[in-house]
Amino acid sequence: MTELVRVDNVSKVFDISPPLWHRVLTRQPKRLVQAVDNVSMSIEAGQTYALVGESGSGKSTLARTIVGLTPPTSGSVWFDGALLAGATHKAVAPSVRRQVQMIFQSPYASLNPRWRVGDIVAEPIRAFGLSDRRQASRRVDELLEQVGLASSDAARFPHEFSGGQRQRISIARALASEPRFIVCDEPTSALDVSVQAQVLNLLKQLQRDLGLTYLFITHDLAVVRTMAHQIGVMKQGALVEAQSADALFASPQHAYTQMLLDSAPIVSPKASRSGQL
Amino acid sequence: MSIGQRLYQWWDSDFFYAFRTSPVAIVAFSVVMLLFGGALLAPLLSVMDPFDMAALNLMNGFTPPMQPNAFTGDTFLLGTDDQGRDLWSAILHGLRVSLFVGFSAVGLAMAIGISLGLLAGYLGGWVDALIMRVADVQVTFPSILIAMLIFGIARGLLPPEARNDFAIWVLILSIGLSEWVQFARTVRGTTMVEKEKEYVQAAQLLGLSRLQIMRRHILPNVMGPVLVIATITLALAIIAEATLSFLGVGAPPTQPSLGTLISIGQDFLFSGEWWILLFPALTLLALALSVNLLGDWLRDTLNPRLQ
Repeated sequence: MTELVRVDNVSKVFDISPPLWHRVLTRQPKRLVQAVDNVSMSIEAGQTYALVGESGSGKSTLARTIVGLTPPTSGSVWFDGALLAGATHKAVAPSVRRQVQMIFQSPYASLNPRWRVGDIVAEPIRAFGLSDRRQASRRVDELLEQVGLASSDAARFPHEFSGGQRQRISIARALASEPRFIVCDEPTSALDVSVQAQVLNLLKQLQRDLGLTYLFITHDLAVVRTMAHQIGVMKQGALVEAQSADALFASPQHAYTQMLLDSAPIVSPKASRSGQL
Repeated sequence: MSIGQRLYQWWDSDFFYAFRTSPVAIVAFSVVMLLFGGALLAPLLSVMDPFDMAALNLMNGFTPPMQPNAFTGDTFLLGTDDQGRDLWSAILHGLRVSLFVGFSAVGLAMAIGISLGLLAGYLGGWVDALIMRVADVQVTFPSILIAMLIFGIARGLLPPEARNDFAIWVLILSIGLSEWVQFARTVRGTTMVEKEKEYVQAAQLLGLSRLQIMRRHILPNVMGPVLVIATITLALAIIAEATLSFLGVGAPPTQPSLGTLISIGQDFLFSGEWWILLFPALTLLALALSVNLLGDWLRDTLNPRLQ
């Protein structure tokens, strides 16, 4: 197994104190929130790393830090030996940035409502100058078909699609720059249960076909079960446990992980007797 | 898609349905279009060129509407002013000046307000604080005062012989600079909401510059409310122009706007020549009222929370 993404001692501290003049006048101390606390992890190529934890555990912040949307306070993130995010404001090479994409939680806010689907999917191709105009439109058709939409959908606007279809458009956009690593921030939590399975299956199939590596942020343990090879458990900004999926479900080491597994709803009484979720 | 289909789609759209079923909107729109048409076709519709001093006959001065002049026997639809200028022609040409100044001033205010609002909302921090404090200071002055201030400075800077030629542009500049705050505030607010949305983060991931994101992603999404404010500001700008011209600091008498005409008419109100004031004033009222009503209707229609 080869390592694709390495996270080195990443911390993220948010300064949420009131404006300086206000703080000085009212003699309040600085207020800091430690969203991510010295996290190190390693993601293997071609695998899915699931990051689980309750709301506010810092998993989304960690994901945003890894892709470079928010710079870490300290530590660094490496992609295939190249710097992806660091505390120093060093520019990330476009060739590296192109290989990392993100799929967002809300299928409604993640697509610009004023843009046609074709333009949305073509944007990464144009931004990285991957092909000329005519090739780009052919590539868009190809991508839309790859995620289970029709090439004629390129002329429509996002509001004409359902939540699941919009998430497919997001996936098509993420694939447009031919990435090797995709961060999925709760990509199915806003969808109906029936549609969730379709989107998860699509992601799995794309992983098989294109050899993608995923970082999967979720709080849904059923999703983790179907997707993950490796699992990291976060609590209050720290990574408290990291194991292979089988090992973690079989014998959770940390007390918090055990609690998390116990709190998941049981699907059927039969499954609960045999000790499965 | 054929033109017929497109037309049908437009006719069938929610927006056009709301228009078809609102009598106020239809009447206001018709009045605005009528006045626009009048202003556009002013040279064809008018009896004389009111700017051409040589064409004026002083003997025709103070002719009441629809009555033959006692000396020359000429009849004028809306009467004449003290110089013998046909009021109908003067109003049509005045409407031109008023509308031109109004649209240009709103265009200027929009350009300034949208740019500053986008910068303040997207960049935040000290840029936001600076722009919004300037806006706060500006709204504490009445906009007419700001306009008069700019007008005064411009008059001081310009040589006397150029003042009349540049009067219209100074007018546009002064009204534009006094009306940008509302655009900036609205755009800033909408921008702050939009920039948190994930499509903006997706664009950031592609390494697009902040300027590109503002222009290509956020700008199209803030234009809805801007359109509504632009309509209401247009009415304000027309009234501001009329007020400034009435006060004598706006359009020069050689190039009269509606405000200049009202200002001229005001001198003769108590001596019995009521028509010189009344007709330009009625035109201004109709224009400002219908543009305002149209703006209100647009706001109600485009606001999803009120539907």
